[in-house]
Amino acid sequence: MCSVRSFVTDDLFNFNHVNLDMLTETYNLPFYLKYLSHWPEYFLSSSSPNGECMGYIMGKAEGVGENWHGHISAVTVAPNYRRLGLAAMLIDVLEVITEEVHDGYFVDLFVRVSNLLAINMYKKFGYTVYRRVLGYYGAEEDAFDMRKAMGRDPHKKSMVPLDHPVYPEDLECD
Amino acid sequence: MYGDNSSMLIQEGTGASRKLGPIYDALEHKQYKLAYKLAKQATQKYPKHLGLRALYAVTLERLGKVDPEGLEVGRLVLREMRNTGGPGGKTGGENGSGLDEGVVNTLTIVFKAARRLDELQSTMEVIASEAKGPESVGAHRSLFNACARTFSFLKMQQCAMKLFKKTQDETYLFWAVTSAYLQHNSGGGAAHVLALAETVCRKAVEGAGGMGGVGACGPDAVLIYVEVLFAQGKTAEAMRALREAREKGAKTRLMGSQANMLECALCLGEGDAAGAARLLEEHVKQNPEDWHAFRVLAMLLVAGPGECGDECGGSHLPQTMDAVVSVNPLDKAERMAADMGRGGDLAALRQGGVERMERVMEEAFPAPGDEGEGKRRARARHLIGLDLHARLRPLSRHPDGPPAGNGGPASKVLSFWRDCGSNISFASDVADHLDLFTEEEAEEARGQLSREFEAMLAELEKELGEAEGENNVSSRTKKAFCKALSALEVNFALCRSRPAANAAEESIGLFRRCVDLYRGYDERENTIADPLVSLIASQVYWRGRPAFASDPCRRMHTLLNVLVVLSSGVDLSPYNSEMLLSLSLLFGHLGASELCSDLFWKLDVKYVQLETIGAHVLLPCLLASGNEREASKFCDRHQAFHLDHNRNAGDTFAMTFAQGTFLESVDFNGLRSRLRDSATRFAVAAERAATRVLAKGAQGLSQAAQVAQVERRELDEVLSEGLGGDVLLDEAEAGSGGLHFNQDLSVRPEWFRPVAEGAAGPAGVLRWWDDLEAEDSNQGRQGAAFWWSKPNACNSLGEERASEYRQGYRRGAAYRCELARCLEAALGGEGCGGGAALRAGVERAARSLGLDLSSGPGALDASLVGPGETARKLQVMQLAALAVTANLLDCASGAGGGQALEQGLSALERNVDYAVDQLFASDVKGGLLPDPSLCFFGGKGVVAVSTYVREVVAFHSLVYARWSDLAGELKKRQRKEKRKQAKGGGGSEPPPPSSASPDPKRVRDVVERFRDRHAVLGARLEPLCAQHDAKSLASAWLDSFRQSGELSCEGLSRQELGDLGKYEDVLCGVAEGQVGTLKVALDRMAKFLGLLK
Repeated sequence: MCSVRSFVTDDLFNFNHVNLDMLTETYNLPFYLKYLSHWPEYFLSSSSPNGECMGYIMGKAEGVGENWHGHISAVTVAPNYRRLGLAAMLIDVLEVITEEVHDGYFVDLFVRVSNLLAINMYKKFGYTVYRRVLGYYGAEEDAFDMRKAMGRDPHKKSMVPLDHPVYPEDLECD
Repeated sequence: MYGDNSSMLIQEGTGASRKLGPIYDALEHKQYKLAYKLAKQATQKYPKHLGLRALYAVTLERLGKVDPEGLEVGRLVLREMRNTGGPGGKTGGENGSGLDEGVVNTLTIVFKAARRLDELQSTMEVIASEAKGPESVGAHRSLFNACARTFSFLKMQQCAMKLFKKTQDETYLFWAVTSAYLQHNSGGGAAHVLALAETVCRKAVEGAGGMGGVGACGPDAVLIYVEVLFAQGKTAEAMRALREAREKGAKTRLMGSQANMLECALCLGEGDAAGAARLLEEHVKQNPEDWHAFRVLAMLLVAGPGECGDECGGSHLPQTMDAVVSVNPLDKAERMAADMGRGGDLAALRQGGVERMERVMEEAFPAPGDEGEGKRRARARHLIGLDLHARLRPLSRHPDGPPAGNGGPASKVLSFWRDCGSNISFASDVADHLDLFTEEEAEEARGQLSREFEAMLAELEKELGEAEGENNVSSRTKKAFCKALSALEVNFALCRSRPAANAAEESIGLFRRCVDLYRGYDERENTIADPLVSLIASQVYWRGRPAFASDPCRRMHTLLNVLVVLSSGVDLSPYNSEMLLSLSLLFGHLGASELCSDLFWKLDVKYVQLETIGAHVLLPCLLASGNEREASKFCDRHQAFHLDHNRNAGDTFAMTFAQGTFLESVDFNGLRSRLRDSATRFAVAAERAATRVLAKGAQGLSQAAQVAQVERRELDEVLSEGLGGDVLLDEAEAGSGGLHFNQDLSVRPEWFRPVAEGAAGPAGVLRWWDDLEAEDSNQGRQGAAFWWSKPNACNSLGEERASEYRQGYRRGAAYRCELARCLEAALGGEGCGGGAALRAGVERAARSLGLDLSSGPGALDASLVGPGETARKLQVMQLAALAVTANLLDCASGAGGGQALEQGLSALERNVDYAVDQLFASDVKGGLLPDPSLCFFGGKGVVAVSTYVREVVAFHSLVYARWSDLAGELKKRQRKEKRKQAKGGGGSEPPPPSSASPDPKRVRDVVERFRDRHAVLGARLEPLCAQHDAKSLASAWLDSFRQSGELSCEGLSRQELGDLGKYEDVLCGVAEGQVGTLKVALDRMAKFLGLLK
């Protein structure tokens, strides 16, 4: 049971049990504020009846032409609320917004190639690996660019995998 | 990053513009010296190119030469822009002169860094007023941004209106409306400001061709209009505007369901509860997991007045966003529904409300308990059931009240457990409902859960037996484990104040059986067994708690047992934040600050978390252990976070207008206030000042005085920003309104109560120990949860203890700020306005502690001697030294006060004797040094010694070093007076009897006595350090455990880690930390006492 609501800056003071998880990054304030000021509809928090933040999702709309799409920048769930299917629920909402509000062609996300758990989870949600981005996480690691087509791309053109990897500078969007 | 250079790039192809690229590159790559060199060369070649010169100013700023060098260049560019961009001026052109938004944006970096944005703004005002033609729009946009960066709402509004007049673009009208709304919300505008905003809105709607066209002015244009109406109480109009906008397809940021909920909140605002209920019914049928909507509906249909929980009591947060209804409307709807209920307006709606609610439930959950129901939905069904039960129960006691439904809370929780017990969140899901249970019901529930646990354990063992030898544990096994764990967690929560004798053993037994479950995880992941370790730690703590007051050994054994349990857990799951934070706190409170710090930073705490976690978890521990290096590092990082936000807040705020996300403008303004007027910020600033002075102090008085001056200036600067400083320091504002409390206390374990007074300073640690020594009143327990465990706990308005916490925190922070200022004054800095000024500061500081010194410093004496908290005694000693310094300053300047000085000196001597004889006696109850053979310094001992040395010995030594100067001045003055008198008096009156001439030698005697007594104390402590190496100390502790038979977690360690090695390792770590802390304290004592030679 959870209510999905808009993320507000007060949530930054209460999201520690989500963000203290090692696999969740805490960013500087301008990063969050940029998302809130540009794409508030894409920044959502899910809260439990006791008021605790169960998890949140941040995203944005970007691209031009047939590359116009929704992007999942971060989706994370507090350890206490895992295995409830909450991430799937948040991603669903983001996909609905991409279709209803932005009329995007697809939704994409980047994930560490080593994060098999997450990759398999995204696959379960209908995402496929579109391409590999070399050195996306610095020298440390490559990323998979995973995509899911929306209704505006009925033939799922946006999901046809590239046959070669790309570099971060080749990406169409930041 | 370096400003919008679009217009500068228009000049691409010109020689000057080609120079821009390499400079940008160098700046982006942080090659500031190269950037400076290139910019300097380029500006020499093209001295009239404003873009180049602005960039040159930026390179100076990056090299740390912002004031005056960078600023001077910036001013010249602005002046030139004004001259060439004004009427008749040459604009654009080969030299890149004239008004240029890109140049202004670049210069903003420099003016922002120099904190002179107001200067930029006033120049922009002139430029904008003089600009004509198309350039005028750019100038006004730049001016608007400049005003936004300084949060000047009125000027923003005026500028936006001018922009509209120039462009006829309705978007600017919404800029003006938002600016007006902010003026009103920030308390800077009367009601007519909103009326004006409403008029402007109407004009905008008209210009946009009706509500349908308003969406083009920004995703929040419709919503800000709704807000302006709602804020004036015109909810019907707000509703009409929203509906019209929706009907006409105006775009907003809201999805359909969110817009419905906004309508629902407006219905409630209008008093139309029936309309709101209809909307909610439809919504919850579509969204059965939306507990918030369910709760508002239940409040309307079922609950009687006065049954609303804390969550409806509001919070102590910036009012700006709190007043906004369009974002998360259900937050406000809940409050409105509660108010309506209290006012009795819902009686008609509640006729048959229960049945209606049941129907909604049936439709929302058509197949309860079915396999396909899904985890979230099942969880939702049970939670709503519990919530409804909680509402109906008090009503059912009334003869005419509705029935509370089938079964009591025990059967409801049990049924919930059967369906959802395998959810990790199960225990926290039911925690808020455990206070529903009567004693008998709790007993019944515990009995049933115990039986279920046994059955589940059998099933689990069967599963584990079948899975033996397999690499991965099946999900069935995991589920069975989670269910067993949930049963234990809820069982424990039901009787935390009287835990069952075997509760911990039961949990340890489960842990032992299920250690295989840890396999197959990435080390960064949390495992499903982690909550079990936290549960065991909690059970061990509460089992030992009742004996803490009477038995210091038991106290120490319990804490070390908890430490061992958590350390074992961290070995298996190295990044579990709950365990790491608990361990960090424990190590810190035991005086092992390096371990505390290592574990804390392992969590990668940064940015806003420094504010929400670091200041109440890490900093007090570092200070109490005298770990100045780490403490100073923390304070710097914390300050850098605030400075960064200060620098960037205006930019992000301005961005919201460009994006049309006007509700974010309101939210960001609230965030700015929350950080600017943060009590934590002031507390950390005070600790930073004290830390730096003490770190430098050992080198000598003049160095300490110099640093104290710099630090005081910086502290005053922080305090002078916004409202916070005044609210913090002014006793008249005792309500602490305007001050913000950003600590996230919920990260603390339930057995680690937060300490308000001195929460960011070393006193916090001592107070925690004092708390443990006090009788266990199980303070803070509320139902099954502790008040600080709730999200946003310290901002709760309904929770009395939260209010006490806020007040205590404010007082503690105010005391430390005043103390830092007084120290600077006592050391003879700029702030030294003589004895009277210092005395006033001491009185203010004392008032923060609740002491009244208006009738003299006698109150200090009374607070020192006799029973009381250790932390308070140390604070009193600090104040006493300062109070006497004020008297000495009076005497040295010839203002009299000899008698008061003599009294003060005698009191100080008594204080020091008392501290050394009583506080550090090993055989006196309340003394800090119990027999070391038992448990070294008894837990509190090491931090108490360390804090005493830091806060009293170092502090007094610095002040006394200054006394030597003052005694010299006094002597000189007395000689001079003597000579005058010998010459015939020179007409001066003989001094009044109360100002009898003090003897400078007496001052020196007191200082010497202080030094000698502490030298003896040092000599007493030194052998303790020398004779206890960490290994032997750990062995002594272990023996002590064995003798007491309290090696309760032996099973956990022995089974999983082979032998008792784990115990010894952990104890050894603590012992090493304690010995290290004590050595630092002794070293510091020697150094500071050296100042008195």
